[in-house]
Order: sequence, then structure tokens, then C-alpha cells
Amino acid sequence: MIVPLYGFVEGDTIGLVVLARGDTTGAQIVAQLSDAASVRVDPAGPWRLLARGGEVPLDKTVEELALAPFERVDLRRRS
Amino acid sequence: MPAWQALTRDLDWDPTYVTERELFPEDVAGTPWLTHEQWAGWEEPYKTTFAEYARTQHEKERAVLALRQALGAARAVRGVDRAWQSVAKLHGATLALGEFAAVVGNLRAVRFARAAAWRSTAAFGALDEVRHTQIPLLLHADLVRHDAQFDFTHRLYHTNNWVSIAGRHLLDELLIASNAIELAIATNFVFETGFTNLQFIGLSAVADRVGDHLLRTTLESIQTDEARHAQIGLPTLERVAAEDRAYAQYLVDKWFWRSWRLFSTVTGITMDYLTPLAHRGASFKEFVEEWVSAQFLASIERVGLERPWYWEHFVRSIRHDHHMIYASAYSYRATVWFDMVVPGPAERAWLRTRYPESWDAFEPVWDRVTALWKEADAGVDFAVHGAAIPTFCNLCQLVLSSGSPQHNEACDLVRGGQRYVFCSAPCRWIFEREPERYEGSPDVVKRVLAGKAPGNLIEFLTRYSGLRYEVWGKDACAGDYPWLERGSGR
Repeated sequence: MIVPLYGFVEGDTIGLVVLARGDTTGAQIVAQLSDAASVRVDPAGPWRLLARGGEVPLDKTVEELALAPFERVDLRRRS
Repeated sequence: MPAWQALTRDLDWDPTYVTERELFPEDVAGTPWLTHEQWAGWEEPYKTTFAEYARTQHEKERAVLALRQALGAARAVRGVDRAWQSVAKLHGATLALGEFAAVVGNLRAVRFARAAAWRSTAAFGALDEVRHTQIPLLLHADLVRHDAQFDFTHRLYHTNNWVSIAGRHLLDELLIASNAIELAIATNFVFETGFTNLQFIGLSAVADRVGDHLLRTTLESIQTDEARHAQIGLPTLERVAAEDRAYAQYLVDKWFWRSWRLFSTVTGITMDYLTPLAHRGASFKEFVEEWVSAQFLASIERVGLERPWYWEHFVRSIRHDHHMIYASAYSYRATVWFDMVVPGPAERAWLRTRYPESWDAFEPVWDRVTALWKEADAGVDFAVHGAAIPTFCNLCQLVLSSGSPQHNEACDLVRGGQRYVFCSAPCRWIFEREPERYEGSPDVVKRVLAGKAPGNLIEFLTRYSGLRYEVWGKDACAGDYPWLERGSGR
């Protein structure tokens, strides 16, 4: 099942849709989102993935994280 | 009072076959429902007769037609900067049929407004809006055979282009669905007095400096009409505020934000990006602070209302939102019908001085765009173009580009098991006040996911958005800027 997420990349000017599946991992979301924003933001990481105000382990899946359709996820540069 | 006034502007009657409430049902006439006596004394400051109106309009139309004949529309535009031509395309398309919707709105007021003078002024307003539809349609129709993008002056609202969806969402509510009172406060007071009247004055001055006589004459011809029928707003707001202050405040707050979203998008990018640097005067921020914020606050204080609750948010958005929108729109330019430019070093230096508190956050975005153009061959637009599906606000239907590159202000709301996403807290607040009014309008993403719009970009552009290669937006310089050094290390 497709889980559309709304992704926001630090440094970007627009939110983008990430079409994830239940078994999509946090790392795959990072890759998909940084690539989608790459016309405006340098995609080179490292990135942190945030959801519901906290950092998300990159090996966890959408299903494990219980992310719902249209939930917000953020990519922040790891400082 | 002149003798004619009682027989024309003030002509009224007492209903005998139906009650006043039946004659002016609250659903269409508006809330609060006041008696005929309570509306007595409704007064617009500048009055006109039909004969005087027809004489003035005839002169203005002669001026437009004389310019059209003297210059020839194509010649008038040919010498104008390519980026500036996008201003005419953007305004023409969003304006022309939007004004036609305003004819419908004004005619509703002609029938259901509660004071005879208000109905009479709205009748002139309806005639005004017919002109405002026809002038850009006529002038831009001349240009279509030279530049197919001008076709969108007529086509935009007949397509599902995302700008059209956002525009229709606003204009349908503002002009087609509003009752006479909400129409007067939303359109005449907030939209026209607060934004478009000033916009037309400012923009016609810029058009003059740029040498775009066609746009200048069009805007001047329209602005004088706007100034007259915008007068409907204040006396109506005064009555409503005196009777139900909370409702008046709600309407002002709601419509200031809704109007601002459109205004910051259209006028913000016009003033700070599409106007050639040599012809720029004030920045968009300076213009808004002086002409919109100050005037608007003075007007609402006069009727005893307070500044909208989101005022700090609004002040922040003056510095950011149109920069967010422009960078986003540039990277999705094939989804619109006009061309855009990359701000070069001189433009960026100008923007830095005008936006010292926010511009630095946008530098990396334009560095990135510039770097991609250096890698690509000139004219290969899709090498510097987004391909992912952008997100849209469930209220204003514009892209989620509020806030800053550090923090996008998008927020959400779960209602009835559905998650709604908004560009900003004020848009969410408007939705929350009347969810049943808005929840049936799916944004572009939900249309795609429901299979009602194609997910494939090219299909989306051509089949859904009404665009084709000759029409869709490109880089106005094909990425071939004199300041962009291409080729080293390739």
C-alpha cells in the first residue's frame, strides 16, 4: 500500500510528496527526498530524518514507524 | 442633495407582496440581517450618474483603443524585456476571467444589497468588471499569433493548471459564493481597497518605467474603476462592525489572509524578480509595508477593529513567502504559462540589500540552480527542473511554500479520519472555522492519488494543465546568462 508523505528538506523552498510503501525504510525516504529536492538543494548528506518532532532511526520502516498518509517528515542536515 | 439623486441612486420602495426578509433572504443578502431603516444613510463618498459614468468610460476606452491602433499590440510588446512580458502574461491570465467572476458578484449585490445606493454603486461595479474582462482579452488576443503564451489570458481558468485551481478556489468563494455582505467586505474592502487598487497604482508606475505602454494603459484604465467601486466596502463594514464586531473581525481576518496569499505570489514575484533591475523602485516588502500594512491598519482601526491575530506571521511572510514561491515556481516553470529568470549577481546583491533579514537563506538555492545550469547545455530546461510531485495547501491550494528555507510553516489537521495539510497556521484557522465549506475541495496531490489527475509530469502538463511545449514556462534566457560561465572542466 502506498503511503504518501509530505517531505520538507532543510534549505528547500517547497514541500514534496514522497510515495512510500509500508516496507520503505527511513534511509530510502532520505534518498528519495534529497534527490527530489536536488534542483534547489545540494543532496549530499549526511541527513537526519525527523517525524513527529523527533529523529527517526533510518533502518525502521514506514510501517514500524506507523507513519500515516500525508504525515510530515523533515530532512535536516546532521551538523 | 442633487435633484436626480432621489430618482436614481436612492430610488427605493417598500415591499407589499412579500416581507423584507423574503425579499432579502439572509443566505444571499448576508449576516447580520438588519432592517431597511438600519441600512439608511449608507453612503459612498464619490457619487456618479449613469450619464457621467458612460462619458468617462468612453474616454478611457478611447485611450486604450488609440494606443492599440497607434502602436499595434505586437510592436508594443516586442521591445519589452522578456522577463517583464511574463508580468503581462501572469496578470492577464489571473485577472481577465477573475474579473468576469466579479461581474457575477457585483450583480448579486445589485439585487441583494440592502441599501439603494449600494445597489446602484454595485451596478456600476458590474459594468466596470465587464471592461476589466474585455480589455485584457482584446489586447492579448492580438498577441497570441506572436506569442502563444498570451493564449492563457483566456485559457487559464478553463484548465486544471495548479494556478487555476488556486485562483478558482479563491475567486469562486470571493465572488461567486459570497453573500452581499461578505462580498462587500471581502472584495470591496479587503481585496480592492487593501490590495488591488494599490497594486494597480504601483504596477502601472513600474510598467511606465519599463516602457510597457500597453500594460500601463490597461492598469490605469482599470484602477480608476477599482477606486470607485471599492468604496462599497467601508460603509458596509462600518454597519456590520457596529452590529456584530466579532463577525466583522472574522471576515476581515479571513479575507486579508486569503487575498495576501494571492497578492504576495503575483505581485511579489513581479516586483522583485520579473521587473528588470534598472527599472525597479521599492522592493515588494517596502511597498507592502508602506501601502498595504499601514493603510489597512488605519482603515480597520477607523471602524474599531483590531489587527488580524496572525499579524506577526504576516509581517514575517512579507520577507520570505514570495521568495519561497519564486524559487519553487522557477524550478517547476513548465507547469505555468510564462517564463522566468534566474536572479544574477546584480539582482541578488539588490535583493540582499532589500531583505537583509531573510535573503541569505535563499542564496544557496540560487547557487544550486546556477551550478546545474553550468552543467547543462543552454536551452535544456528539464536539466534544471523539478520532477517530484510538489505539495499543496488544502485551503489556498497554493504550494506549501510558506515560512523560510530553514523552517517550512506547513501544518496539518486531522478531521473525520482525514488529514488536511496547510501552508500556514492562518490557512488552517480559516479551514477550521468552516470545514464543511472547504473539505470537499481536493488539492492537486489528492486529485493525483485519487486517479483524477495524471501523476506523469508530461501528461499532467499537457492533458490536465492545458499546456504544450510552445506555451509552458521556460527559462527566459534559456539558461544562457552573460554572468554564467559555462564549460570550464567539462
